[in-house]
Amino acid sequence: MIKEILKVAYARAYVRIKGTNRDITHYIADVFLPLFGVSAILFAYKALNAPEIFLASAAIGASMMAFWYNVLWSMASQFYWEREHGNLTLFVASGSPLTGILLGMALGGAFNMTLRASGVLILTIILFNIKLNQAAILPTFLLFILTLTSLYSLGMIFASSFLRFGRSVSKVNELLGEPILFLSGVYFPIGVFPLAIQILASFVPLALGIEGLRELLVLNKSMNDVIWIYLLLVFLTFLFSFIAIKLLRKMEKEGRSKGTLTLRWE
Amino acid sequence: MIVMDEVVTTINLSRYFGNVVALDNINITINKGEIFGLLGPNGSGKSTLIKILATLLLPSKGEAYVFGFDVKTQYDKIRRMINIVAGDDRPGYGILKVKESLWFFSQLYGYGIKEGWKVVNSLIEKFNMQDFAERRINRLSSGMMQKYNFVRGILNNPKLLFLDEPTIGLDVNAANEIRSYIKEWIKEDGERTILLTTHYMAEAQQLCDRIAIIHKGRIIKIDTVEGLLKLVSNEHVFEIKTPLIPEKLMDSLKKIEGIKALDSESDVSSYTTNLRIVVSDESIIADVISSIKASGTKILALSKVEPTLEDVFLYLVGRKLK
Repeated sequence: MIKEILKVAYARAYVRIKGTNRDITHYIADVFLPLFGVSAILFAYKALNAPEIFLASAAIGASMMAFWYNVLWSMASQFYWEREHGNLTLFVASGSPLTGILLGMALGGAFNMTLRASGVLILTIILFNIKLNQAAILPTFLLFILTLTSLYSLGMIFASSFLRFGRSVSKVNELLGEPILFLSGVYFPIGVFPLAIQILASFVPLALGIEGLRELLVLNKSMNDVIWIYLLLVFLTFLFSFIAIKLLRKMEKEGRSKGTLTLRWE
Repeated sequence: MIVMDEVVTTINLSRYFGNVVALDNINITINKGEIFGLLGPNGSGKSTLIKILATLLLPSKGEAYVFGFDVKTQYDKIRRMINIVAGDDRPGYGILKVKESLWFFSQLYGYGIKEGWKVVNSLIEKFNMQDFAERRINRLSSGMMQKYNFVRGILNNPKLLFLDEPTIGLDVNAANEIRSYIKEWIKEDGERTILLTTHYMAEAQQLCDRIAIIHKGRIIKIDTVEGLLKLVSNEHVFEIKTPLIPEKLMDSLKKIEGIKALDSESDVSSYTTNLRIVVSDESIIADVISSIKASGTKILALSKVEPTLEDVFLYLVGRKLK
């Protein structure tokens, strides 16, 4: 069963990677357009003579932000679009594991966004002469991977639950977009929030990831100093994946009963 | 009890969507090796029945078995043996090439990574798709799309293939090509069975071994094409062309005794109405002509025609299949 899930995941990731990178102009747009956004923040920080760490924090936050938008617009609503195009019917009727499809969507999306986010980060570092702690490469890489696994596991939950929605799906995306970015501390540390909001934010993998990267790359902390973030991200990955798989089964069952697996143009 | 050769069996199968009855006590059996047609107008329940048999939708009442497996509980066993091709679908991803998209589906159907490419390449060759195998899905014509979709549908060599309006929207040549593939595919292996839904009479007549006429969620009649035609073999079918006729005249024509079925089709652009009338006794047509003339309406053409499945539908349901 695991072999089957991985094979289907590979096929679905292939579609996403091959399709998204077929047209190089998409890549250019995905890197340069966000660059305008982060540049505006960085120019503002510079004009205010903000400390260097503010600039580095904003550069990291802006690069990571792309993953959240990818989870929302490409991952969460993916099953909804698959249904609209008639693919979901074929996935279900094929008997192949839907978890493989979900996993493939996550892997493909994460790979594509890593290419794009790296582009944004590298250009920001060069253009604004941002200094990061280069000694923390390995812990940073590990933290980055854990952030992505937990973030895309959350995306899998959204993808399953979005099967419930009809056309309102884009409104749900909009509803989740900005508040999560606010909680994630994309442009400022979440430490500025009251404790209750910090606790709430610690369930958002993006917030944890950005905070961890900031501590490692900007504040020169060691892996041991932020080990709680690593552990929490591992816990969230398992928790979210478990919920996503359960939810997916529930949604499929409910879809067969109510007809929502095949009902289009609601 | 399910007999071995029975690929599909439904027992008092019903499906409701709220207060709407989509399927009402459907009892059918489909045997191994046959092309079984479901003939009915849009909204008659054809696609709902396919969705239930393809394990995508649960019945509200009754039972359905595919290869002896219960669609409600043993869906995982059924899914590996079936596939679906819907005429109005554009499956896959627009940005992928035909070849890549077929490979993607091959992975869902259980092939290995390399094995998938082999199977796809051989099918592309077999179905002469080389000239558009490298073309993106979003750049295919309707005919190419349907050919690609058909090949996708047989990728897993299904034992039961659901064809839901497979030639809808295609021009005559493209539709004929798909029909010839369907005939060729089922002939290749006696273990294969097709459930075809269509509202094209000629398609049903050309392809199906048996046909179920479905209307408003109910099966009206199941028989072979010959058997269905026999229903109207003793009847006489006339076509009358007149200038547009008012509702009032239609109502009075319907009241003429001896008319088994009557349907009209008006064309506002040519300002004409075509009447198709099924009668047991040819002399009744004289009463029809008299009634039309009495209303001051001219008769532009009158002909006696050979009964077709269209007339069977008209005879059984009371209106033409549109």
